[in-house]
Amino acid sequence: MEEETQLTCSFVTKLPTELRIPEAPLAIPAKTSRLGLSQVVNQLLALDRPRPFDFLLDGELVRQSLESLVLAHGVSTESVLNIEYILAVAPPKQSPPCQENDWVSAVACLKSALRLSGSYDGSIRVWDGDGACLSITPAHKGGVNVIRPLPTSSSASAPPLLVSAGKDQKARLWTGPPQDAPASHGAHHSATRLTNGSASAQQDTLQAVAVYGGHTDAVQCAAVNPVGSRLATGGWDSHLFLWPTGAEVAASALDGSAAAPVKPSSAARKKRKGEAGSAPAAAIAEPASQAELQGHLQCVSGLAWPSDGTLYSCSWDHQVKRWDTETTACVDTLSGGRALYCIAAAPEDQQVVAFGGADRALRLWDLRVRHGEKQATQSFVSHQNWIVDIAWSPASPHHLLTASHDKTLKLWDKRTSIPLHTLQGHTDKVLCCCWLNGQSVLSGGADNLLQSWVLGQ
Amino acid sequence: MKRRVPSGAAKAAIEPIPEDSDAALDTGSLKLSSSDSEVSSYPSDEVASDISFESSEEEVPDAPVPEAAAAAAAASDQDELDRAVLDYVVASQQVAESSASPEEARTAAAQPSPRADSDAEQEGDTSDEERPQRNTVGDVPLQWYRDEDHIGYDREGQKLIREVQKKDRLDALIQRNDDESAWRTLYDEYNDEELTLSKEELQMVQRIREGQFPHIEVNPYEPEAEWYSKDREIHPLSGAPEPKRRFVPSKWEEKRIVKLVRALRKGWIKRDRTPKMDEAPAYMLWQDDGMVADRPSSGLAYVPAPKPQLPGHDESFNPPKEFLLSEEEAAARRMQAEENGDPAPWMPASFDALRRVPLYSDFIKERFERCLDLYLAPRARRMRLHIPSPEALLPQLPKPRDLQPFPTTILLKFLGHTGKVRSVAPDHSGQWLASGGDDGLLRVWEVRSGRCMRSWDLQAPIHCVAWCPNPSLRLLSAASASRLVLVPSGTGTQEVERGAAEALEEACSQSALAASDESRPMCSWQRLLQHEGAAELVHLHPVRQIAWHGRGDYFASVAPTGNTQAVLVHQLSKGATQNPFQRNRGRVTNVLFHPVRPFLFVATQNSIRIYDLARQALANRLLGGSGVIASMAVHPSGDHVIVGSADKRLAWYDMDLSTKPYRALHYHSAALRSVAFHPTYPLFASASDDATVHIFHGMVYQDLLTNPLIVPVKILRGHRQHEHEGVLSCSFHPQQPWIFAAGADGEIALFGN
Repeated sequence: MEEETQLTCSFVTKLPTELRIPEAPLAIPAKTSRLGLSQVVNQLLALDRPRPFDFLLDGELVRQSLESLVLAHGVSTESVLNIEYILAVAPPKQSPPCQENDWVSAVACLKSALRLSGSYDGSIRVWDGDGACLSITPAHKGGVNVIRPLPTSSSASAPPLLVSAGKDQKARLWTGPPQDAPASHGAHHSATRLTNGSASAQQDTLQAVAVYGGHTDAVQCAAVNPVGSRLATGGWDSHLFLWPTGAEVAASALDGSAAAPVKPSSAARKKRKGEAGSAPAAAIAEPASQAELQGHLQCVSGLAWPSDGTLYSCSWDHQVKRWDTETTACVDTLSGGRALYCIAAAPEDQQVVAFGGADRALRLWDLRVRHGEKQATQSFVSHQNWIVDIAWSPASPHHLLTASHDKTLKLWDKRTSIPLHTLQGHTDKVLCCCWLNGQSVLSGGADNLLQSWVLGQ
Repeated sequence: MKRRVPSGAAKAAIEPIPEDSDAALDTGSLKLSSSDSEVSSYPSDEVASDISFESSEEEVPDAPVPEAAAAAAAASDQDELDRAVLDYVVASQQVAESSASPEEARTAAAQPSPRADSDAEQEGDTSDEERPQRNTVGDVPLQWYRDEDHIGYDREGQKLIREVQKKDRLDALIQRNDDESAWRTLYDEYNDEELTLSKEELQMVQRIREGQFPHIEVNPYEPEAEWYSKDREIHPLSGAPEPKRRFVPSKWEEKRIVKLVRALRKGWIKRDRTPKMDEAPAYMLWQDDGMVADRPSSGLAYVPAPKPQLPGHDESFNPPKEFLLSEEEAAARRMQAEENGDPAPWMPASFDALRRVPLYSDFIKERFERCLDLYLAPRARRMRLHIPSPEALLPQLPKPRDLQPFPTTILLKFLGHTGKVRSVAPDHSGQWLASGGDDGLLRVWEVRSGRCMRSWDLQAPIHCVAWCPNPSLRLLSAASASRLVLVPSGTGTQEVERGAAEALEEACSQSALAASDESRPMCSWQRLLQHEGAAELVHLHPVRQIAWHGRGDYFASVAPTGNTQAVLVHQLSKGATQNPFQRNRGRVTNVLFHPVRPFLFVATQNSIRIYDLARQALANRLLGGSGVIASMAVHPSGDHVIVGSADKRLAWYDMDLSTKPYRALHYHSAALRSVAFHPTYPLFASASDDATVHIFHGMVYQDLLTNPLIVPVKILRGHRQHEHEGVLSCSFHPQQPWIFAAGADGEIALFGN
């Protein structure tokens, strides 16, 4: 019988004390992979219900046998391996879907667990956590391309703000339902439940406060800076504009007074009346653009604004650009070979961006790696078709979610090139996805469904 | 008589004055025309050389210059020569001043000098103005003026006062000694002035003395035109007929021959025929080296074939009776042959005529066929080509993976059409895709998501859709039955859509105004009431194709059955329609506007004519193959055209090169339906009824020396055949290396990299 190679490993963790095991080195067969390691830890912990663990060696998730991992990393088999273990992400559980009228092209969620979805019929729907449609607001003629919530202001009473953009070449700033909306609606929930999104009296839950008109073609993407004071939009006219947004704009619009940067023109009012006559007579501001970032040659298709001074954009001209928003200069450019559709930046380390495009690969660009030093980009191939939306988990800097035309969503840990989970539930192309408070995800697709999944630990 | 004068003597000779004042005076008193008289006695074209060398002592007395001979004791031919040179120099100086071209100067210089002077005076006063004191006394002895203060008169009749000669002799001598150019200074008594010879003139004098032409440019040996040569010309100079003497035998030759014959007969001429026998004959030393007796050195014996026996009497067709065999004899001979195993023996037979011989009828035919075989047989031996390997025959092409990007995989399907999709067209931004098909629906799709954004029911099969290239209108056109429908696409804002609708309305109203005075218009512009803002152009014949000009104002429609009205060119801004071709050669299948120049490509069934719209003339004609042309596309540079035809052939035409295809690509297994060039990438594609789309790399180089590089890179299979029709239309995405292909199975596929 062939002698088995043994590796000395010591297990470390940052998990709470009840999940800790002594750090004394253990001899473990080199053929052991994640499952074996998890069994070892579970045995040592002697939990009544075993919990799945994931293991990290040198910042990489263990997805193969320890032996090959050690070989790949060039670590000596004599030395003690420091393996960190974390709780594995459990397979997500699918919640009952919400039926829409049309293809769902944009999803977002508010802090108050309200879900927003924009669809190709041009309206934004508000859903509560139980899948009931609270309101339908006609927003963009031709279709909504993107919805982005603004970070909530300090005062809890103020209504949440959100920004949407669509094929009518406009972006709009909306005030959402008040923070305590779900609670107040809870009483007469059944009464106001709207099945299949038919219009009712709840239409005015969203109120337009500002309209950003500067693009000459469909606005494809939008991003709000972390403070919530500025908005960036990019569109099919290959322009990328920066706008003022936030509570000041909303307040000035609601007041109806012409604040300095905000000029509610008569034309805007006329247009608003023409479009949405049912809206109350709150003035709609029409802020002028603060700056234009020039550099892209084709449709600007994705934007990410992780920190105040840095904006990432991707475009159909195959380029990812990093912008300094203070000087409006392009700081860094990465050229790929395909048209790009979506981009997302890691919430904590803002130097890593993930982008996808007319390609099966999800790519990560680490800006801290200098060009030529190491591979600046990593590509993770698992999808079978275009990746059309990416969302980075607000809770974890390692997890991200991709939506693809191959009818699936995939949950990735950037420490391994194999996706953690594949979320299957859509029957047609998935068009958009977003995270719901870090523990559940929301997606919409061409099957008119708004799906949601809850991730377990 | 020629005499060479050393150059040293020339120096001395040119300055005759300082030797002896009297002699100088005397020589000076010589008429300048004295040498002229000599000169003029020679043929004029060789004056210069003859002057210098042929002047002889004998001729001196003949010269009409008695004073010269008398006065100058040493007035030899040398002085004559010098005087002639002086004359010549003066003349050439004057002529050079008066005339511009050197050739004229040369001819004039060759003339005798006083005549040249007078000529120059007669011709014009240019030389006079430059030399105002030109004496006009003429051909009189200058000694008449010797004692006068003047040397003669100018043209106004004023006296010309002697100045130079009046100087003190001593001063002159001192001056001469000081002056470096004194040795080449001459005194012209006639005009009373001193002439200093320049370097060139001295060289000229030198050349004259050496017996050469004065001017170095003169080439006495110019190649002469040979007007008469021994060669027989195709076009002889003379058209005279051949003289008789060329044909009749020469009388003199005959006489000569008679003489020779007689001499031979009489034994006067002996012919030594018999070789001398006393010497041993020369023999070839190495002749037998290669042979051993009769055998070649290869060792194989050469055995000559036995000669066939000549036919005897019994083999005649009509032998004498005794040779004929009786039946018993014949049977016996046959039996004997059978026993011996020989072939059938010869049986003599008798026929009363050769043509009764049974072989006769076939004989002529067989002989004729053998002759025919010999006549038609290939004379050259067929050489086998030396081909090292079959791969060597293939052209050296780059690998497809080095030519990326190009469409490779199916990315998206646009589902919704219920019939065959006949045409697809992406808009200029690449955001939208328009399609139309047999279900009569004109659809606009979003490229990114594959969603049908809008559709119009045109109630008749749509054969072609095309976007107006003007981005501010976002206008969509479709050919459906005999209508050409223009609709605002709705992809822009409401203002854009309203603007497009207004433009269409304006065009319709203008057209209505114009059409009121026409009896039967070729095409009427009308509002299309079913769809808001739309307009239709009702043709008399079914429209099959639309081609927009790059500016987006003009567009052409093709109605193949329309005969004289097959191609109509419409103008959107004026609502006007015109018929540029009163007569079409053949059935027009396709038209196309040139991307940069004012050219219109008109494809008939088997050729493409390129019309220059600015000059209203035919600019070029491309010859097609055997199949009907189905589709064509122009390279963005405008110099190359690809044509797909029903004979499964895709032809690439380089218009600068030839009217025949630069490459003909036979890759498809069925008729081609559509061809397309990529606007930015070096790609082109062909779609065919075999349900495939072939992608080619077609690189066109900027320099005119390199031919385009054409590499087939990919076959895209995403469609199914339906009723023997495959992919009906293909069109590249304007920015990405993607291609849209519409199939007869009702699907539109997007292929990308």
